[in-house]
Amino acid sequence: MAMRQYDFSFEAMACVNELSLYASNKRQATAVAKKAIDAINKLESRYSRYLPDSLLTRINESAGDTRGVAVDEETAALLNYSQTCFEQSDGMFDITSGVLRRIWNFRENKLPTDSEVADTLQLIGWDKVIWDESRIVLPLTGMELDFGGVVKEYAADTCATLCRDMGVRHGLINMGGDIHVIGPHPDGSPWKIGIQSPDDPGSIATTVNLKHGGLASSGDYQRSIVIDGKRYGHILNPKTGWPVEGLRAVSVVAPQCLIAGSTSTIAMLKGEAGKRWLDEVGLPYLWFDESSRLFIKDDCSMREAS
Amino acid sequence: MAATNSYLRHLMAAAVALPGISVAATPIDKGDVVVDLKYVHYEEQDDLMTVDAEYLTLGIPLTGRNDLTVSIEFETMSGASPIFMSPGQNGDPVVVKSGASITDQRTAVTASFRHFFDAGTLTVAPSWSDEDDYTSQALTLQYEWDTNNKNTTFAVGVGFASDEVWAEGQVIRNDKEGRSVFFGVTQVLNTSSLLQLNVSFAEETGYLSDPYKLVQVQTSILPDSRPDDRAQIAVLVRYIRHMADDASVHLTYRLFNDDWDVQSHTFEASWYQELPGDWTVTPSVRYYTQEKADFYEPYFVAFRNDGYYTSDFRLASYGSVIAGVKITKKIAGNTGLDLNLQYYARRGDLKLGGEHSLDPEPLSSYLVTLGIKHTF
Repeated sequence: MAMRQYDFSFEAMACVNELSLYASNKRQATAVAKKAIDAINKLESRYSRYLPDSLLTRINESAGDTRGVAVDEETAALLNYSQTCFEQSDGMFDITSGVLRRIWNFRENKLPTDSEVADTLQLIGWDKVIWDESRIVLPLTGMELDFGGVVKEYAADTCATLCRDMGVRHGLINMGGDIHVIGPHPDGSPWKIGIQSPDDPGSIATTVNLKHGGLASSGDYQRSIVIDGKRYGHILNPKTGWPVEGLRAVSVVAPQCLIAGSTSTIAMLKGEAGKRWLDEVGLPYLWFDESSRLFIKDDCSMREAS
Repeated sequence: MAATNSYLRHLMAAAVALPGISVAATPIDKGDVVVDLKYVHYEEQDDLMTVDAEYLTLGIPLTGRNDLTVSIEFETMSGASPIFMSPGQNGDPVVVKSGASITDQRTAVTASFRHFFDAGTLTVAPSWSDEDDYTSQALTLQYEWDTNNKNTTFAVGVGFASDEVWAEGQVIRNDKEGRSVFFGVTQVLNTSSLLQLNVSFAEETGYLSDPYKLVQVQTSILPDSRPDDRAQIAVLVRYIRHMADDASVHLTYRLFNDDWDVQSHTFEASWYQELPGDWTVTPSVRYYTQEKADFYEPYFVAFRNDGYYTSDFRLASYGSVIAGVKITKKIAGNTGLDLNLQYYARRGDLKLGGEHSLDPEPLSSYLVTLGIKHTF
């Protein structure tokens, strides 16, 4: 039975996303895509911090209330995962650090004052959160959780798992650059995934070939401020409140997009030290340094996410 | 995937708890063809048995939900083997060996077909083995599934075997049948450790004696003669703990008991160490101690009412030790080499506690395995 590639484009999580899958007919492909996209929408409705009735908004609105909010199993697992990233990155990966957005406005060329930074840092720290695996308490008014760097990647994995469960063996989900390859093209050839150049997001700096698994990138692709010739990227260090330096962008290949995403984010946060750390982690990767020079870990495009 | 360091291991453990993340549904090496070649050399000291074997294993993904692994083995055995024991001076047993060198060749094929259901994995594994004096056909079925956010894995299995055994030159072919059931549970205790428990029951019926072995009863030499039924139970407990620095320790205890009164305990410890440059080194030690079958004697001073006799030292009271090391090296991403060295020593007085069988000829042997594995 000949299979054809069907592409579905949809908006979710503030991105234009693309699901490509091979099926024997359009009806079959559409049925799978509908279920997969529904699942992504459901995740967005639960974990978006922009939607007024999402679970995440409810948690954030409870900040300062010591009774906290009871959460379901999936949310608990996401919080546990985020906590693991916090512990494994020595506190650099921190889902409470989103409040820094309040003082860093990348649309205006203006830096925050030292006292603004100091005040905001008071509200940051996963170690200040009370989390007992079923109930979460944000003890200080103004604290906020942000699943950016977790939920979009997890949505790509969820979508891939659902497609696989429904019999799809060849396909790819691209959530605004966070990718999970369900399986290679039917002839066994890999998907060729273009990596944007951080200086010119319209051009492709290199291509990664992937047959299975996740690929995620983190970096200063768009938002940055330039003041007196110095560039301030939008990846902020939760400990200092200032943009990190050392790397422009990092892409990582891992069995799950979620793990690729957290690993690329942690590498960015570690800055210069992230280079050596990526070697220790052992996953295929590539990075652009401050002068946008590209370094590809030799087997990044050859090796699978294994 | 094999998490290569503690960072990845922790993230993987946290990620698999998420309902949208699946790691189980991916077949071997995610749809790649795997070829594994192994050469094994086994040699007993004092010119007893020597075995050389070659294995070829092919892992073939069929569809996303099915895969097949086929393993072919060629084995050549040669050497002398103990036949029976006679009382020497002071009553100490003296071994009588087969004079001429025995040679035998074995060819075995094992296939393992897996189907990945949404809820679990079914494995169907038939096997065939053929040698000059033995043929065997076997089938095992196993189903494995997990619950509790993949923290608990259960496995159940059944096995059947039908063998024919005879001594070379003999016309009579003796039948032997085997049936077994197996139950296993693996529990993740926390992000760095897991505990595994397996229980299996097996029953063999038919001709369970060794057609090459004899026994001395008073002044008569009789054939090895064992009951035609053997019921066995084995319980295995394994604890695996990942250590911080890319290492893990595996501790295993196994209890075996059968209705021939054989009881054994096995203790094994191994240490997996990952080293820079894609090396792993795994030293291990194993200690085994066994209580003899009730019809085992080196030689018999009286006839037994039940007519069962064996002087096969494998059914005696003894202990043994294996010390080994396995070294693997990954080269060029898709290719791995492995070397496994083992030294084995078996002696009556290595038995733990109680009386051990008189042991005229302690056995020691070594085993070398060389392997290369390539993923396409």
